[in-house]
Amino acid sequence: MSSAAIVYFEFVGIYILLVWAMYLPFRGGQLYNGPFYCMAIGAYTAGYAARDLHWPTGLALLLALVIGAITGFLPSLAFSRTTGIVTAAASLALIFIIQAIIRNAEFVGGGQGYWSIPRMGYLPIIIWVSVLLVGLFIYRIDSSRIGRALEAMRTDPALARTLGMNLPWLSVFVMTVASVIGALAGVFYAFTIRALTADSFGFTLLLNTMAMLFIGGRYTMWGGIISVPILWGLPTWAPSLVAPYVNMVIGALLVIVLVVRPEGFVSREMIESLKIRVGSRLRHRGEEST
Amino acid sequence: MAKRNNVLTVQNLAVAYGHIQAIKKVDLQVNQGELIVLLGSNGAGKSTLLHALLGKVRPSRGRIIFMGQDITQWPTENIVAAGISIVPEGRGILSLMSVMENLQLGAYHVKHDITENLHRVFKLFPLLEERKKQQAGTLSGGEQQMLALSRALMSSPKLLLMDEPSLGLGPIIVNELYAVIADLHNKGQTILLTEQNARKALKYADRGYVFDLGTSVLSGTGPELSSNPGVRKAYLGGGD
Amino acid sequence: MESIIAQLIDGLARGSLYALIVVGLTLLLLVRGVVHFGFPYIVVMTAYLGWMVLGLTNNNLLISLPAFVIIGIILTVATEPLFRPLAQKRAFLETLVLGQGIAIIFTDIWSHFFLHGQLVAFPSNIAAGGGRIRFGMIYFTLADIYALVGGLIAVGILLYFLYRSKQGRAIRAMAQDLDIARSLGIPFNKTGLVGFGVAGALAGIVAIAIAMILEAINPGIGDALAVKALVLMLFAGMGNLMGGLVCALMLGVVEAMAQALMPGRWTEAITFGVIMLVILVRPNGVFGSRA
Repeated sequence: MSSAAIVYFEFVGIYILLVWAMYLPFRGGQLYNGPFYCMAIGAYTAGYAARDLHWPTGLALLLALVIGAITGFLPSLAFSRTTGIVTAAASLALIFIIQAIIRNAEFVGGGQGYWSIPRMGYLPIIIWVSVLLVGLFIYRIDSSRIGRALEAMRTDPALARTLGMNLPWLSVFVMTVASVIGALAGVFYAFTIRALTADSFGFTLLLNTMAMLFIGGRYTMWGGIISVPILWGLPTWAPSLVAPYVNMVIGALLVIVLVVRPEGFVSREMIESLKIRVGSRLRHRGEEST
Repeated sequence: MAKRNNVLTVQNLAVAYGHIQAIKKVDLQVNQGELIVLLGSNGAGKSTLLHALLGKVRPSRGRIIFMGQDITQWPTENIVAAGISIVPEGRGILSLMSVMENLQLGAYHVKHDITENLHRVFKLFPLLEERKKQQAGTLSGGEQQMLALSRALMSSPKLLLMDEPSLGLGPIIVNELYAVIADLHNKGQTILLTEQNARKALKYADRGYVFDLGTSVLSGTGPELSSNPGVRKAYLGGGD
Repeated sequence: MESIIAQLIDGLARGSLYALIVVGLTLLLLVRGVVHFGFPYIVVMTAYLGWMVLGLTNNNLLISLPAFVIIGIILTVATEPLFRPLAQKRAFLETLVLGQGIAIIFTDIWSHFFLHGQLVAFPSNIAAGGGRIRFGMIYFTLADIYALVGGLIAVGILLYFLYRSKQGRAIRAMAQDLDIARSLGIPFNKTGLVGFGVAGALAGIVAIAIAMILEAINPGIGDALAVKALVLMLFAGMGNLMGGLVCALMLGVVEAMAQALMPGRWTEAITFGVIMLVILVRPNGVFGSRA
């Protein structure tokens, strides 16, 4: 398989993780930008551990996850008590702060960037196994009590509270999980590109991920699986005439989707009707075989 | 069979909110200068009818004809511009704006200078002129009702709608309010109002309709309805 | 001493840029109940297009300055229908993302079609307001004066519009209670268009101010202005026009002072850090939200 194709698959995996990391808190009604600064922290932690501390890449990954969890958990204690736009803006501010810290930290390259991160063996396989595991995890959360609680928190927080749900802790949980997934994506990013700069973990990353989430379908975990390969495939596989204008296309798609089909491509209706169809077909098969 | 001085005709109206049939079948007429009362308990569909008249909810069946024009599909702003004003349930004043600004907004569709309209309204309620710079939310319930009524009158409406005007007001204020309503009626204002407890309203009404579960089940003149035993028991508090 | 005064003036000029954008955003918040995240990008797009007009008309200010305003109005009003369906559904967070879509599109257009994303400089008759002045040992530009005075006038006119005109009243009524406003016959669509139009005129004025004060632009300033404006609005209190104005001016001054006294990227981190802490502790903003 060509190296461009391998990189494509690696990035699709990374972005699916990021989209899921955005999706989880959004299920609860929060636009939380933690996954992005934790991605930076995860990437730099893993990169530094692997290159300067000479740790094996697996251990570096674990370290990055732990640190990502801590740096995701602590701010989320504060963010869980605010709503909507305040959480979005405050976590956005944290992205800029982390970027500024990185730029000033000489031991990770400061303004020049951090280069020559060692390779991680079997990286594409590890990425995709992780994607599967995380996907399973999210699927379980979605269909569990926690998923329902998130839905309640999003649509009617007052009612959720009267039903006895502890909303701040639910927020903290979901935000921390999202941050860890973001850190994981960061680790993979570090080992894929093997060179890091603070600029990669900023506003542009946020906008792109947001676009993929909203275009794909923001109320379901399956939306990202469709939108990421297509939207990430555009710059990779598009003819060279079109390729530079990819961002414009993505932006235009985002605007069109929000005006015309606000839930995104994979809407909840679509999932429901697919479930019904698959369910009845399975039942038919079951009846036929008896 | 519309009379020449027919202001409003509602034919065979049905209105649904999703799966809930708020109005099943309503026919009614309002003629020039009449005071028409809609009676009925909570949820009977009275408010829904007023919302449908204003175009805030679309009927699933039937027609609304105002001054000879079919306004069933008209947007609210056109309906208000054509001459229907409402005093909403619960007064519906903009509490963060001043008394004066509320009145000015009542005249949003008035093309000419509104000094005359303001004079008329201040003559009716001198209190409002005193408090014209005051924030509307600081007025008492009764004063707010006066403001809401004045605001609706600012556009010199051909049809004045009032949604449960006595709701939440003490008996003395209600008396004053209905004195004003009666006065307006005498001066020729066409009024359609809804009430749950309608003793006062029926005293002055020309005709009325009784709503039950989204259908108009009874109609008649004021005196006819007042003396109807079923009506008395249900809506006039039983006794005399 | 003199350098401090010079920094102060410079800071106030930059601050008035932020202030006007915040005022425009607040107006749009009133009109449709949404945070029009695309508005700062519309402002920058107006600046870019205005630069084109200047180039085409041989730097003719008589044609170009009104062109800035007209372009601002057209661009802003063009986005109004995009926000209508979401605004009616009260989908607040989603409108933020809609603005981001506009941000992506515009930033990419600038990167490709305007000198391939390199610095776009405004001609000298508009940049710096056309001249620099010296007051004893204090240097500043005509732009600083125009920006401050012009900004004050613009805000004054806007306040007059909001509080003394029929359309302004209608906008405030809709902001307070959409249902009552509707019952009064206030037209949802037309009022929105008027509000967006006024905000668009403001965008044109800000674009002119950008040309004068910043003197050169690149695709990155869209993001920079948008994030600062958003964060300022939250810091001051959503919907609080005067509060937002004051905080914006303050930010401009703080930035200018910090740049002079403490060069390096740490100032950015500290500024954002302080703002973040404040909005976490007081989600309704320092001066209180009016939304």
